[in-house]
Amino acid sequence: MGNRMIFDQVVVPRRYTILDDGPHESVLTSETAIPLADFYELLGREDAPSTIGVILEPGDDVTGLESHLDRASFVALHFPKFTDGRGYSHARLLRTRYGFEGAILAYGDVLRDQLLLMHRSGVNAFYMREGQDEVAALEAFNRFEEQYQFGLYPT
Amino acid sequence: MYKYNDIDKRIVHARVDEFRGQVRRRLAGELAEEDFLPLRLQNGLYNQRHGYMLRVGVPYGLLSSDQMRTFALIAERYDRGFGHFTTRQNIQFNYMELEEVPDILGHLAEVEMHAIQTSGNCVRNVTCDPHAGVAPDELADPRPLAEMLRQYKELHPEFAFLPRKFKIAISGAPEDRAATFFHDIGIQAVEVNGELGWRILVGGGIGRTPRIAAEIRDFLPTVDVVSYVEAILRVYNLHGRRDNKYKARIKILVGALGIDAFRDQVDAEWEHLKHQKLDMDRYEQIVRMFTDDVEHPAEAAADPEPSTRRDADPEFARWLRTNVKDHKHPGHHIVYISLKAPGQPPGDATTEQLLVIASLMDRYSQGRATATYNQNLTLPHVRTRDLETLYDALVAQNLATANINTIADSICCPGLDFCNLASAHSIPVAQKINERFNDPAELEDIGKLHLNMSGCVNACGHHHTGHIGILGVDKAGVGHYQIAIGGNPGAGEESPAAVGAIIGPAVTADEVVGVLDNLIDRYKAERDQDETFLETVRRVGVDTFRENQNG
Ligand code: SF4
Repeated sequence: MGNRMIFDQVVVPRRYTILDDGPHESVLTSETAIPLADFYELLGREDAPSTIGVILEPGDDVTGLESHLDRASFVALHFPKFTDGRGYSHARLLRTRYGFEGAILAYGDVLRDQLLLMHRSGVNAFYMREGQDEVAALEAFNRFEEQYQFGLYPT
Repeated sequence: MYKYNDIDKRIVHARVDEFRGQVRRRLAGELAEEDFLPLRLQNGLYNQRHGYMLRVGVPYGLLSSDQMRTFALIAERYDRGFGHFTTRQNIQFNYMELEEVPDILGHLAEVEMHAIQTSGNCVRNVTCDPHAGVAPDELADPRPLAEMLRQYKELHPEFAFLPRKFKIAISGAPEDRAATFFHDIGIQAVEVNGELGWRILVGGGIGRTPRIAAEIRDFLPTVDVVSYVEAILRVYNLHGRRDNKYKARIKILVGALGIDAFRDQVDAEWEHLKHQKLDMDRYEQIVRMFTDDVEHPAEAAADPEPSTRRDADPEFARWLRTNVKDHKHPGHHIVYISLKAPGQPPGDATTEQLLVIASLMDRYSQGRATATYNQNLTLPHVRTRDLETLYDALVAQNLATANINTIADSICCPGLDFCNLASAHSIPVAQKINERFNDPAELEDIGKLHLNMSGCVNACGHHHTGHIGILGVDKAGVGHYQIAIGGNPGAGEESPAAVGAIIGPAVTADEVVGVLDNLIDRYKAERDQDETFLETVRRVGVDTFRENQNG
């Protein structure tokens, strides 16, 4: 399970590398993610890959990222505790306001019972907490046919 | 009232199934308690001193008789024969078995109810004026907006893990019976230049740090309210403190930034959201759902007054004066069902009472009741001709104590009898108080007086906003009671919202009634004609009452 992820509601091998204490000597590709400050620093460098993954911690400012999203191959939202809900707003803003179309990965304390909420906020890739069963967790996506925010705004 | 459509039904039933699965995994040991905790909280399930308590949501306090019967069924089959109405217009059942809760939620779903988000760090039940729809002074019925907000906030994917709980109240009348100044968001109907809209308050609250809400918008048309609430929620979700649960409510964020800077942030967020205009056709459709299923025939104005009985029976006459309130439609009345009989735990109703209330709802109030902020119920559509028979039926069930809005109509939290967090008992003290103040003539003479009591600083009994507020504290293992006066949940221009001031050192449970006697004596000595207790406190100052306690 430690090497599996859910991607677009399918269980597949993990593909991304999360370098959460910085890039150091690692080879950076479009499938590695680095902290936001390192990402900004890298943008100005000539040897930087054209796109790379960026990590958003709950306290990071997502608004500053908007103008640089063309360099982000994917965004990795860190959930240090599943009860910290800031990542949901980050996902929502990335998708609906900034039009980000790359993968949004949730990693850390990611549990089956929050998958649907994350999915509906715009997350499409999940590294679940150690010990969670990704295959069993897939049922979460099909539990509710509709969303309760129906009928508020004219369609 | 609002009727579920097929989508509501499917979602609520799916939610029951989801929770059934979670409970099964919990019982099988597949789900750890700490991971289960927020899931059960967001399904209304608390762990209290005696086991699980289930809090069922009553949107804006409005109930049908079928729903009341379902409460009776739950009380009888799954609890110990009673339910407890709360200050958030909800009902709680105190002795639940975890494995039975999914079945209980299933019963609730059948009558279009649930326990979604009645607890946890999310948007809670939206409360309203219990007189909504029938208050003579109402500018707008707050319930259709509350219903749209309910649909907005229910299972909203983005806001399930806010920094802390989040409470919204809406008042449609100039006299604020919904305590809007003490909510995370308070919404008040206003009319500006002939246009009806809503004033938005933010950052009020009680708890450890009582705060009176500040105005963030003086006017918003109905179409913009939901998107504006979303802007507030998003700013709060991203920027509210998460390092200390006692500093995590939105009032702390608003206080730290100041209302102007907070408003700037919300407005900047709202710039991106304000194109989302509420579907006014659907809004109007929901407005009609609240009016189309009740009727107020004009001929009721000619109903005979129960004058013979009134003249002959002073108890009945007093009940009419105290427990029956003005109605928008001639010949109709709002009748309070007092859940504060002497010696009874405030807000409790037994299975039998719930069943009788359900049939009285059908017979005399078009199948409707409301749950109130003061932990009573009302029958909102009672005709003049029915008052006398209704009174007798209520008397038979001990539901006609003439004490609404008096000192014996106290708000009281569960306290040490049920709550894990309590510092002191509250229910037994409330019982003592309403045993002491059980002479209806004296109660009527004392007049309007809100007494609120909490068993600890978390203030679930709203002690800060009581005209008299009592806070239970623990002193070396013995419950003591700190008494404050002059608080007010807010009720119009003459009596603005206020937090009470402490009048002296904490006293023991046995001394509480004596302190109250002194306060009442001083009030009687100071009052100017028919001034209420609160008005007298405001005019002569809290100090006058302080000396009194010390002397
Ligand atoms: S005020 Fe304290 S004792 Fe009373 S219910 Fe709330 S947490 Fe419990």
